[in-house]
Amino acid sequence: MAYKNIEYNKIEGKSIVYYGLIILFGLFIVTGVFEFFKTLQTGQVDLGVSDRVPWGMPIVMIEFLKGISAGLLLFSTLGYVFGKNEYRSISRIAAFLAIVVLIGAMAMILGELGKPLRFINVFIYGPAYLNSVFALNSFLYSGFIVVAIAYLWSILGERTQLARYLGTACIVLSVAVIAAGGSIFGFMIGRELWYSPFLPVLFITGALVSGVSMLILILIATTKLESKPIDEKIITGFGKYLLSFLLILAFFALIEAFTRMYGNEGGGEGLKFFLTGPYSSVFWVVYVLLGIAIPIGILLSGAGKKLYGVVAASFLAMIGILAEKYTLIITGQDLVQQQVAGRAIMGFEGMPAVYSVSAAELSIILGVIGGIGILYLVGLRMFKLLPSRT
Amino acid sequence: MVRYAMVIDLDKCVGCQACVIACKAENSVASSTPDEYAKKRLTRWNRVITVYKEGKYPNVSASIMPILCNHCENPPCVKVCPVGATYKREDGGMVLQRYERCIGCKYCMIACPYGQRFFNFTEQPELEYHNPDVPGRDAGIVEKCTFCVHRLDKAIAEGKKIGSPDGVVPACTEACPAGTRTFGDLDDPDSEVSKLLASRRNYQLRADLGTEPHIYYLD
Repeated sequence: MAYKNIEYNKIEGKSIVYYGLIILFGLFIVTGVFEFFKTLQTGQVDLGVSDRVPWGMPIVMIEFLKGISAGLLLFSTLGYVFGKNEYRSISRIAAFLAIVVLIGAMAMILGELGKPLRFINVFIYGPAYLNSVFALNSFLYSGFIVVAIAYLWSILGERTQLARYLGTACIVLSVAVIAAGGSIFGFMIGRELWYSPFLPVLFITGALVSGVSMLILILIATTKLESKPIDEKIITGFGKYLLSFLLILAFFALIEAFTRMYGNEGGGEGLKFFLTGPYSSVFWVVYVLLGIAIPIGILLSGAGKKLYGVVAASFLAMIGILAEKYTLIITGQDLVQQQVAGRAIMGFEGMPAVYSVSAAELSIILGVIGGIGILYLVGLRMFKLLPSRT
Repeated sequence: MVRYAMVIDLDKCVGCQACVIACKAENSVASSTPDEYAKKRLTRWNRVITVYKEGKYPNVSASIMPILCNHCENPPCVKVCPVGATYKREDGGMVLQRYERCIGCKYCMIACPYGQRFFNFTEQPELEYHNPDVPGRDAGIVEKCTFCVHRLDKAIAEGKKIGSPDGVVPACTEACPAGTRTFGDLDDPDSEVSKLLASRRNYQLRADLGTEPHIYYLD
């Protein structure tokens, strides 16, 4: 069978581009670490968050990265669990990147905590408070990383049977991690725009979109880095997956909006704020237009069968999912919480805070992206991840 | 079991904000700068809001409404805390915060339907006029109203009576010039709060959410 002839290689990693990327990501890390220690000393005073919007861009990025990670791990199991052998060649790279991205997401959590040095408390006291989705998530992430490493080890050694079992466990954990991510928001009774059992499902769909998009982009970027040819069939095949998940996402997003429109508290003020408020341009332009409508258009047209078309659609879809998380998380907090149902709060207390990303938050995010980038590049040099022939 | 509650008579409230100042002074709650005001970084364990009632400009009717932690029977903030830093004390039913355990994840702020949890963005310096009975709070943690638990515990230790009209009460209740607030034990049928709730129509904030707040409003 064709997949048995796949050869994998480490990259040499001696090109100028490789070292240039290492330096660039290194600078990102320095920026992030500097900001982290500054925050430790001065508190979160430089962050864009407030008492009205306590969770800012780092939290948005954590959810975005978690989605990418879980999506990547799910796609890495296509060959070993679902029997789609034509996609086996990308399993290693997808599983490795999934691990690295989730480690990045966990690092970002540290960067966002008010007391990062007390994070150990989650593991000390957390087992007694598993009704908290946060506590549960800490153990889910740890389990995800351990099982994903075991799965990667099994596929690196071509232990097919073991890889199937571990891959199945990875699927369960990926879905759990993403569903739990959606539950962080969906379980909040006091947040009108979040409270929904549908949110975990929406998050899973978003994870599939961002996971496959990331896979497409990273495969193209990595093969370009090594100046190796790429099997276009794999990329266009993933393009079909992307199209399917984008259509499902569009449908779910529509259902969610209609539900809120139909039975909204306080005469639909929440939905009005979401669709026409200060963050609505991100929702309509970046998420709906750039993130869903245009990629679907590209993938349905002739360009969807070409490499450049799939790459463009993937890039836009990734941006779209980031915008989706941004609008949901930020708008959901900034919507004024009614204290007496149906009666608006007047004056200063009734006005939104209007969050904007601060330089400090961007530094923390850059630091994590730098860390992910360096780990990935070093991994390519240490492990045989890249298929040389498919 | 004692379950403390507060009844606020909105017909008496004049919106003077004496309760806000009393709370800040009693609990050493940091004051806010104009920059913090603009950024909505305001630590106010007790605040006064205006809620629209009915009518159109210029004939608008509104309620001036003091808001504080509702010390819910079913508190969403306690459910979400990953380290048990936020907990509901059995004796008294107050929702309290273990400052030394809080990791600053701010999940409780997200979960609270009443916006009554506040993050310390900066280090809080210890000032000479701060109340020595109240523990200091440093940067990076979340703080909130305690129902002046230090007062109540001290009163219990000294064998004093707790609750309106002649017992020890939280600072906001004591400071109110109009006698808007009544504090006492919800489980004691002879307490002032029980009598008020039995005799007057009342409501709780967002009772539809199932949090069962311990703050009741008479309107």
